[in-house]
Amino acid sequence: MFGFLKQVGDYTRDAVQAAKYIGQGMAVTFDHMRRRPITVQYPYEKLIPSERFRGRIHFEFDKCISCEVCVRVCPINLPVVDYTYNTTMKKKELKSYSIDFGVCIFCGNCVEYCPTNCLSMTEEYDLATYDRHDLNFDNVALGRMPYKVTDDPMVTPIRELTYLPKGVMGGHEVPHTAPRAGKRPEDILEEMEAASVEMPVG
Amino acid sequence: MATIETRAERMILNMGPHHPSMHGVLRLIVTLDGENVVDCEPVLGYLHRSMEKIAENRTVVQYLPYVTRWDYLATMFTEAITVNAPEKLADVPVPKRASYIRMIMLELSRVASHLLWLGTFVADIGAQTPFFYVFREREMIYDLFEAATGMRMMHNYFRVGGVAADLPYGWVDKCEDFCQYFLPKVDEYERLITNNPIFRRRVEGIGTITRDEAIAWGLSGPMLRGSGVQWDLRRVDRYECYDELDWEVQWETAGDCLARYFVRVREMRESTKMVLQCLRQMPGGPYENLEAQRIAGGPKSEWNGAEYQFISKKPSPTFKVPKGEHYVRVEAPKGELGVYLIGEDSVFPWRWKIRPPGFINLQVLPQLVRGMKIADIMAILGSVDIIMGEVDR
Repeated sequence: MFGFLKQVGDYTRDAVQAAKYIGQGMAVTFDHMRRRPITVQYPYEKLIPSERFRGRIHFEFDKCISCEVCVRVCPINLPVVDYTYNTTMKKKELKSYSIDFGVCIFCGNCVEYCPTNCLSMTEEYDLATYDRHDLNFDNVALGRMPYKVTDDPMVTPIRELTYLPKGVMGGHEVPHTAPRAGKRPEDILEEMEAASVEMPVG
Repeated sequence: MATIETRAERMILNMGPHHPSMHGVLRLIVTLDGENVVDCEPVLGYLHRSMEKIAENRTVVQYLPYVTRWDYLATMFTEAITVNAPEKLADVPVPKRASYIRMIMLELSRVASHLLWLGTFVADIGAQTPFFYVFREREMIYDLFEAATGMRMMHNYFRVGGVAADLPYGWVDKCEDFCQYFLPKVDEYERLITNNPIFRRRVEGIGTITRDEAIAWGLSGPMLRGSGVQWDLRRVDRYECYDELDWEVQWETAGDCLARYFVRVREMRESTKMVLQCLRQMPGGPYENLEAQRIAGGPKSEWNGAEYQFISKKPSPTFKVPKGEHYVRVEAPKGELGVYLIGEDSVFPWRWKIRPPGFINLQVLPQLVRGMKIADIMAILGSVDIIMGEVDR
């Protein structure tokens, strides 16, 4: 008899507990009704790639000295540096330069080790083509400037988390022109000077 | 419990390699007796890219972009071990600031890895909601990574002797923002998941592994700590500057899926707190501050000293791996990630043996699922936390 009552009691307690905890969980779910979605509606809104973003590589033909460091640091020796040795000038003369972005993994080693900074990484990331051979960029294609999200009137640019003001967690909450978190070194310097003036030396 | 004897004929069932809960391309050949699992044989190698062989004809600089493809959810750890191995062999000093930046990145990466594990683990069990919440927070970590390294997942940020670049302006502020935002979010996940009766029934007492077995199988990471072993390489090996932080090794004694869940959730909290401490203790503070001090102090100021650099010396593309061999390991979110490196004073390593935590932890799977129900395979496999990229390499 008592065993039966205990069973009923345990069952009821379990049911009440379960209802409580599921209710607790649902409270979290329903709490999201008052939060804004963080989804970026891609073709209409676009995130502004960060400053260090490693997109399509830009190449300046005239700066290149054909040293081939980019080839040596590339994981798969990808850049094609086509040059001849000019015997009268005693210099390497670059004829053409190309990188196949269908194979490139955008690791940025070539950019990091380029001694003349003729390589740089742009913010261009949408390189889709219908033919993979179109991705083999020669020095002319590599010299083109990237498309900028902020210049497109059809697109609402959105800042990524790191470029938002302090305390703001979503890119939708502020316009993309809002100043980013952190002071500028000049301001810190000014503060330091002001503090040192106030404090008498000695 | 008394059950009617209904011994059916054995059934061999093929799970994967394209099963959604196989976390990539793992194939399990499961022998079933009705719904009971009699045996299970994992079949590996679908994602094998011969990462170790590739390392043998790449310089360290060339090989670094590859390593984020081992464990593509805890990418910073693979980079850390790739630079630590030659660094320790060649005795390259790491500035303290660089070490702190590394710790911040590593702990953020650990949080990101555990977050994704949490999402997929509960999604395997049948709760889809946390999966989306988890991705929201993970995205923020990746935004932080993108600002500092230039890429969300394939960072290529660690270098022999430090890191590739100092933190950008405002990064420290935003990272702190994230940590403050994230801690209540972990509580939120816990409210949603931990006491949920369905979740509890699915994981409590499932896939239990005892302390001795866990040690005997060579398990590491949360798998080991969930079984009652306080073994954390950050404590044991004292690499980077982990000694200067105030933190606890998270562990549980039960050894079942629930224990591993608790260990990982608590580790997320602990890691967030460690990031906050690192941000405060970092030599030189935020980069903008360091820069201002350098302007004020002139070229001879102490702020230009070795301690405050993000890298000791930019590694040359022809960095030579010295002659010698050794084993270096870090505590990755999945366990002990190690590299056994043999150098022969050449730009290429002679041997680059990777000890991936997922591969070793996966060994124990057949033992864990034996005698369980077929639906428990997902819960157990989910709690082991494997990434096929590092299992097959």
